Amino acid sequence: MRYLILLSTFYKNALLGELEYRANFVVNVLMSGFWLFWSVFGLQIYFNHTNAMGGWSYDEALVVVGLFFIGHGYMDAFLQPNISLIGDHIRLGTLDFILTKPVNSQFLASMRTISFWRLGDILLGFGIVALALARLHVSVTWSDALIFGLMLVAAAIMLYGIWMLLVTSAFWFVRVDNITELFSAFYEAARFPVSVYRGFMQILLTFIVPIAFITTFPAAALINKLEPQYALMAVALALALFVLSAAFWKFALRFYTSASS
Amino acid sequence: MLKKYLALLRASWQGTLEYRASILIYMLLASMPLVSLAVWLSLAADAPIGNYSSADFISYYLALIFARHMTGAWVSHELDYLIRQGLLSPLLLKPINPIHSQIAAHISDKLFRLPLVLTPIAIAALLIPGVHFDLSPLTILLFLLSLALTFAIIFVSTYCVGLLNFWITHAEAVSELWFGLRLLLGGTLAPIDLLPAPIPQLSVYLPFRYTLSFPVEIIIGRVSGGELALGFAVQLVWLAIFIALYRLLWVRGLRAYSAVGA
Repeated sequence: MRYLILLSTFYKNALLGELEYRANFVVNVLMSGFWLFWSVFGLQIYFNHTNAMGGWSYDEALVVVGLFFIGHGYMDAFLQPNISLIGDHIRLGTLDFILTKPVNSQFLASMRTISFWRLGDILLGFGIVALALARLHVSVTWSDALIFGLMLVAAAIMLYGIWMLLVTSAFWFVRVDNITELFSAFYEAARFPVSVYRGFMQILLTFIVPIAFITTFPAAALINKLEPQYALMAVALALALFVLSAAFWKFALRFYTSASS
Repeated sequence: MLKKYLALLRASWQGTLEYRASILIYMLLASMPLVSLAVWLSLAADAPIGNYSSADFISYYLALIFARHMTGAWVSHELDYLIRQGLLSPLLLKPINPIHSQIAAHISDKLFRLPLVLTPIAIAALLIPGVHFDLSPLTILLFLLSLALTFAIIFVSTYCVGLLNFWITHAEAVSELWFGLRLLLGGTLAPIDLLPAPIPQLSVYLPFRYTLSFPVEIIIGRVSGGELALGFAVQLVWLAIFIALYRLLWVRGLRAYSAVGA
């Protein structure tokens, strides 16, 4: 409960800060519109030459594009601003201010702020998903929706875990902006159903850098393409990544050398 | 001027070596073409797409990755930082236009990357059956020439976008727009001749082809004769346009520039 109050205070502060820069909102909306056009037109280019991509039709692949936007918006809104703050704290030695507060340090460091304008990408993503589902004439049952919701939450936790693992390595590497960009580069592959990739790539993107669980499998849940074991795997993977990130954070704190004393 | 450049290059080279780890990571970041390649390979598994077989797609994207590494420019971010923080002021006091040290920094970055990119691409080209480049001396010469022009266009146009920071606070959005359009229409997402009509026809005159695709088309042997001459002519015209734009923006921008605290 205390954590929820803290979180709402953080987000209120962030919103007040962003309201000062309203032009950013307009620019962000325009850029989101541009990338939306880009993604849909890009997908269209491939489908001008084929009817199916890795066994997915155009409208089915469009669901994946929608989830790509949702994941992208989530990372930009919730993870990216905090991650860059943590990087600064570690590099400049100001993490002291977080460690000395009477709340869980990982919570405080990783939930401190939010980029409100980026939430637009999430809405846009859901819009694409809804449009694609309407074009597919699939009726989503309550149980499908439930599994989809579960997989989305699992995806959010997985992304959180991956980003925390990456940023925690800053205790040793000091500069992490490139490391997080490395993940963003991998995330580009999440635009398409994972079945497009072959052999080792598919295994890599499913289990090692599990971006298939972020876009392909939640999309599959909506259109009756999901093999049920992947839903269970998603939950297990999300839990594992979360526990791992928390353990790694605790371990890494022992190596933190402040700059102030 | 040559002596000045040698000094600038020596300094840039030191900087490049200092940040070698970052550069290695940035090199791994160029994954966008690999994603496109993977999609095309899956589509071309059974039958060729247009006039591209699987091996043609691999040749195309290997050349494209090489060209991308040799022509990339990040100078708009640099200018964004310099202008916004007022750090341009001390550079203006130097007896040399700040653009030259940026050019030197980019050249030393390319020299550092050259062996690192060329080695894996050469190995891949030898190991993967059917990969084919047109490696006659004349083609290599034309490829290098168009590669240099491509870099010049990307560099000067990105510099122009960076100079917009003199007037607007969201030049980064313009930079993103320019980058996105180049990915879409410059050959990264798909070879230009696989884009829907009339884009391939228009591309001969639009700038996007000359920011990546053109040298790639040369080295895989898909452009020759009159088309080749026309390509070089249009590429030169675009370079001239961007250079003129740079001159205009630089002179006007300096008048608009007011740094704080200097």
